[in-house]
Amino acid sequence: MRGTITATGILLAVVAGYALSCAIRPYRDCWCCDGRGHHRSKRKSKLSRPCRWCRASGKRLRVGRRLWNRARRLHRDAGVAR
Amino acid sequence: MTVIPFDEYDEERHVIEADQVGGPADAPDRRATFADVVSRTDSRRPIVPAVLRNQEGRRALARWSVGYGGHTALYHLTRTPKYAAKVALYAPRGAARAVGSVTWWAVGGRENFHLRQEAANKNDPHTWQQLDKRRERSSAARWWVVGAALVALVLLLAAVELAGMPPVGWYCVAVALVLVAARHGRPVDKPIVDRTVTKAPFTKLTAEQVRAAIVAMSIGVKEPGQLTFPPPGVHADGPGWLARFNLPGAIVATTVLEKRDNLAAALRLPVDQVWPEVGPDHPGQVDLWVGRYPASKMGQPRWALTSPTARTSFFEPQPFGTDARQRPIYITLFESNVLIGGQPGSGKSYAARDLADIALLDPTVEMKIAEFKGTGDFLDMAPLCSTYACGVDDEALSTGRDVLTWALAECERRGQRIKRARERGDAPLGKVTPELAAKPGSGLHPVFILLDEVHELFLAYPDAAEAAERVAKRGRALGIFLALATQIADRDSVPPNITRCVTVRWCLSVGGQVENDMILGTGAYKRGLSATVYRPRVDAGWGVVTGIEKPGSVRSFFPSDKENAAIIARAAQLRGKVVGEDVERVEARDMLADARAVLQPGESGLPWAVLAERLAAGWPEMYAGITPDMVRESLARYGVDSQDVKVGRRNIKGARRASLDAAQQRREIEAE
Repeated sequence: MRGTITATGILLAVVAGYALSCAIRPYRDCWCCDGRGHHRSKRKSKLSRPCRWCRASGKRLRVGRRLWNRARRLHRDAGVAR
Repeated sequence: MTVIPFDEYDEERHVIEADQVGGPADAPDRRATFADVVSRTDSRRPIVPAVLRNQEGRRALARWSVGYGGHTALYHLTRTPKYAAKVALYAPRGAARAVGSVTWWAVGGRENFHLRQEAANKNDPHTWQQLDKRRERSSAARWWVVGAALVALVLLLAAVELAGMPPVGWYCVAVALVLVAARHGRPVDKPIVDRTVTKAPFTKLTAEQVRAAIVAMSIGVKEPGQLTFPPPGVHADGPGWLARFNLPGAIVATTVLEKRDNLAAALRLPVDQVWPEVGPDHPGQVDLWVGRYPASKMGQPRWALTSPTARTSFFEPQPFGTDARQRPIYITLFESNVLIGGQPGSGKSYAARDLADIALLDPTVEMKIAEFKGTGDFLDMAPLCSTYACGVDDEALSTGRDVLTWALAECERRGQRIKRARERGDAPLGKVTPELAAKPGSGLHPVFILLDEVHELFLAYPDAAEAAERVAKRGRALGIFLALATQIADRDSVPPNITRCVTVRWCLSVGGQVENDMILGTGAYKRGLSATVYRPRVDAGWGVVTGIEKPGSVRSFFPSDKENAAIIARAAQLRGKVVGEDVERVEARDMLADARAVLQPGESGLPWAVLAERLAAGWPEMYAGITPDMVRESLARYGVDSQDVKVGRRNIKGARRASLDAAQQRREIEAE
């Protein structure tokens, strides 16, 4: 019982923390290029190429924020006549 | 003057000097000179507030403060557990908020927050990064500030601890911090401490309301903007608001006063909440006072005479009632007489009682009270009165008449005393002075005569009415105060001459305009002095008073039974013994028999003047100061006509022997 409560508490805290980070720091470093925005070429002579995942920005929106934005857009557009 | 050059001089020539046309009619403004400044009569505001200037005010303030403070303290004390629970709930929240807001400031959370959110909403990472960099730059130094503040705080606490702060001090600091945190953590609309008083809702007067109401009254004001409000505008004045405004053009304030009902209707307020008056500056200025509550619901301030140290003076203004603004209204008993009129239930007896209380608390005043209602309204004052009569029986009525007869004779005696005093230089104005009145044995002590339901007396003894009139006229300067209270003041019950001689008229609730004007004088109703708005019983004590400094509505004080008893006890203590002596009860004389007795054998009749003289000479205790007219009217009741009587060669109006005998015979027949 105690364990369950603790687990639920921890879960809730984690969710709340994630939601907070989605709200005030919506971007995190791109997983693909580690926030650099470009990939270094294997061969040293060649120039680096931009990261395709983050479109060379080095930042990617968190998944939570992405879902949130999608939901908001759906909600906002729901009443608009086509 | 026009100068004509010599060469243009001509006999035929007329020079017409043009009148000066145009130009300013008003004197030009000029700078104030020293003389202007020093001759200014601006009233300076008092440095010490009025309430602190007298003992009574200071006491009242102290009493109020103690009462209010005590109530507040006890109220909060009983709710301490509730407050503690609230503090326990709100303090952590407040602490968290404080930490949160400091952190938020330190990280620059508010800097371009919405722009960053917008960028995130649109998934525009480049813009977001630029904005975030800017945020970082502008808040770069803030953590250092926070850190420095924390270090300073720690150092301060350490210093205080080293300086030797007792543990109690730390507890206090902790409690204060917790309280501040709770204050910071409570919702804005939920105070931690409860309210100690519930304030009643009230009406506030605005210039807009006044303007709309005056326009709606259609007294000639067309546009709301035509009304002007001289400074300080609509402002709080006592328990209400005073709007002083100027009516446009030649509209006078009395037009507003006459239509008080309409004004109240336009303001959507009860009539007794709306009190228009003529303003102080010019006849077109209105002082509209609107109470926070209707006057009938406002209660009344304490009467100064109920104070355990109260002592009045016959010669100084004393409060006898309050006006709508709860300000006391004063009357000086010396040199005035009072007529109180009003329908049953209007509070006449209480109004008369207020005056009697004033007189009672001056230990030099002799009291003579006669009330012809028979219910003993003034019974508690009887032991302090030199003469007291109560009832509608012959005995009471004749006592009432004796009082007036005595007063008349007293006027005679006092007139001579005053004359002697004046010759000595003690009475420079030919009036009783406070010094003379207070001198024992001067025979000039003030006399207070109150006749309640006086119409009974005047109907029974018409000569009493004349006596009353003469007492009212002569007694004023001689320290004899006459108060008459009556239900009806019409021609038959109270002769108009009395009404005219009385200086102060107090009209309580009456039925209509006619009764109102009978008491207050013709035209009073038209001038806006109308007591018809008051309802009997409900508005008991309210009335219109004329003859005082400012005629208007006055509500008599209404001391409780306990306060009444206290006043009487205090008066008894001040006086020690009854002031003055009872009037000599004159046995009622039969004027017809007396008139026949003074007729010498051989005289066929006597002129009224001679008859009056002989009556006065024969029985001075009864007929002193009787006039020929009084004799004529008294005998007319027996059916003695006013006929020509031959004196020498002339015919003078008088009573004939035949007529007197006939009247006697008629009476004997009627008696059988």
